[in-house]
Amino acid sequence: MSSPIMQTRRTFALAGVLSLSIAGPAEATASFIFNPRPPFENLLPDRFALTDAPPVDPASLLDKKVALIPTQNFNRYAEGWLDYYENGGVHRNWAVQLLGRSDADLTSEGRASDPRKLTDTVIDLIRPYFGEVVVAQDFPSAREQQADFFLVLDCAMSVHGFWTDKVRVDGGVYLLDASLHRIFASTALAEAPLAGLLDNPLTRNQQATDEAMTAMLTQLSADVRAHLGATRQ
Amino acid sequence: MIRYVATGPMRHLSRIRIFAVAAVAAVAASSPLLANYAAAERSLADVSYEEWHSKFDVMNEHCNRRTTYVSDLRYACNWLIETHRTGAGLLGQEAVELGHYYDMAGNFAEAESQYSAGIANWTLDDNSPNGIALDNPADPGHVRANAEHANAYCARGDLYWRHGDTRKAEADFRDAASRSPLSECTDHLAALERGDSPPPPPRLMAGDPGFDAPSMLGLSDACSTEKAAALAALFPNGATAQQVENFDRAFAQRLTGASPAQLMPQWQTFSDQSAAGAPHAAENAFAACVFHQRIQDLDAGAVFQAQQQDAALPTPERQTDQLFANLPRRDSGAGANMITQSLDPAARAERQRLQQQADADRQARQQQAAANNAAFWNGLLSVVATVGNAYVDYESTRAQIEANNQAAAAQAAANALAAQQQQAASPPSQGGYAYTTVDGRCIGTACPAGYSSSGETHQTPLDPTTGRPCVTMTGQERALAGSEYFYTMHFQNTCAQSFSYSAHIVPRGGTPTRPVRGTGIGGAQNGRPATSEVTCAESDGVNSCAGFSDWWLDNYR
Repeated sequence: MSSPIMQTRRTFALAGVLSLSIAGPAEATASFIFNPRPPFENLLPDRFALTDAPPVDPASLLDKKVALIPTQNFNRYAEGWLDYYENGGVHRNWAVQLLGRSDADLTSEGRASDPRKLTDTVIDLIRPYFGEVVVAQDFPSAREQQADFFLVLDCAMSVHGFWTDKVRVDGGVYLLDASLHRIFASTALAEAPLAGLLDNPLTRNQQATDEAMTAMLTQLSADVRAHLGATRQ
Repeated sequence: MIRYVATGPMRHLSRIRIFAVAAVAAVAASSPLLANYAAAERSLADVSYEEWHSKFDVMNEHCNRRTTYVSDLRYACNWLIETHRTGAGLLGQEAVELGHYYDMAGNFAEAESQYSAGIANWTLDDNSPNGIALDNPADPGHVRANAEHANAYCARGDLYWRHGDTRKAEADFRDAASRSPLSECTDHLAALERGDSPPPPPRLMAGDPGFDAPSMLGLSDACSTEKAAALAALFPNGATAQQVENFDRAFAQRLTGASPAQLMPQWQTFSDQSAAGAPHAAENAFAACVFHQRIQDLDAGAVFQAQQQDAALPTPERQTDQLFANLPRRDSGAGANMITQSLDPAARAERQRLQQQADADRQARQQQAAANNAAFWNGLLSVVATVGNAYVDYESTRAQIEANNQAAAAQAAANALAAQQQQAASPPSQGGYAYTTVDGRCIGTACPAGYSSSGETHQTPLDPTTGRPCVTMTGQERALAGSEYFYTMHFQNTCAQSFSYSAHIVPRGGTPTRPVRGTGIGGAQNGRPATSEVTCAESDGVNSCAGFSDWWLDNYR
């Protein structure tokens, strides 16, 4: 086993059935699976109320600079994913060592939850609408880059259910103007069932991750496209 | 030491803090904006308290030291008296201060009532120096108690004096003087006796609870919309009456005693932040409205001047700068790095190339694994086939030997039978069956009846019941299945014995090859003929089968 979701599931199962924690559950759980926090936490003050921006002139976007800003959810997701799949975290996982999955399997599995699926998708979506796309860590640094608009990217993966029987992917794209007024907010979530008792968890959980991520991106893309199209009108 | 250190000024400061800090803090519990206010107030109060406390200790010591020079004693005790007079929080003193407010506002009846209440309540206040032996000069509270009490009389005496009731004024001044020779009323009494004009109405010191206190009711009415929004922002679940009161009190405290010049920059700050859409815009909007109204109440011209300064207010860009300056900053994170990777075409292409390579590698590994599996099974099947052929050869050899033995025996029998045949004209037999030499079922026109394509002559056993051959070919066919043709011969066996068969196949475009052998043609059961079939398939191979040239039953050659 190495699917991090299955690790969580197995961890719960072990804990539930054996009522033991000798297996070191924490070491078998990928850190990029967590319940998301509010998207603007640590980006805006707690009580900052986003208000809607006036309608955007479509022609004004084409020569404007938009800064992509990750939420803390996305930062945590990306950091956990990198640590797990690219910086050896998966090989420190006792369950992976136990089952001895190949690097090829892990590469394929990691690709199913690669956070760059979101960044690739969103960047491909917005490039035609803006003159320049840059990256910023927060709003002040984005403004220092003379960004005219801010596009906040949010994404998190979590598991739900008493026996963690579903993987859930939350995504969000928020476009704000230079005064932090909201132009649009697109959010999407998708769930997929994890391996059942009769499934092969090695393949099913990876498939579930891929399904949930793909479904979320499909919803999100459609909504962002609709908003950008509406913005153009 | 002095008892009233813990009751008078400290209590006064304590109330100030309750008034200016706790009330604000209560409101500010859920408001960072007001929390800042509260922090500022708390800081000022603490500093004031420290300063005051230090000075109070010195003055208190000098006022009560028997060895103090008279001038120092007078100064110190006067300072204490003044401290209590202006800031005392005793119940009586509070009434006096409230009376001052009404006095200043020209409300004689209410002012007189409050002053009288201050005098009457003086000794009823639990925190007042009850029990102090006012006639005992040695009591440390003597000076303070008498001074405060005297101040109440003095205030009411001034009120009477200004309203022409010199008789009551004189009486109060004398009561005051009797309680504190150091009271300013000593001077007032002298002035009254000289026929001087009464002093002007009291003007409380800035910072006194009653000083120029704004009417929050009026201010709130003027800013009702903003107040509702601010309260809704501060208390999303609805504000209680106490919270609203604290809210008003906090703003009243901020406004109390401040001049328009002092209020102006604060109004500008609130106004700017509200206009910039900064956090807590609703609270800032209310604050701006209240300060604006207060400034206007104090000095209509000041508001006009402030409005003229709009041009000097921060530009929208500067307002936005201020807004962004207060936003959180973060260290570089993995999310931003991933966005950067997606933005970089080269990095993205390299990532996709690596993914494609990984896919290709995985596919190659899968193919290799499939090939390994196939090789394994092929090898396994080859072994099985070899063992099977060896078995068939063994069986064939064994059958041949048996056949030869049978043939030898049959030959002997045949010889005998031939003799019998000649005698009885009965047909020959073999293996229990009569047989005929006209066997050899050729297939196709190239094979004349009775002879195989290879020129061999075969024989066939005869059904003892019918006298016909036991095995006959009942049909042949060619059928297309997929990309291959299948050639089939159908046999029928009416005898109970099973027979092994052989046949020559016709290669595609070639000549008949060595015969192939089948495992047998089953015998009839319970008198019912058995059917069998032999099939070969035509494929692209060199030795592919294009049908059968002839067939025969083994052991009957």
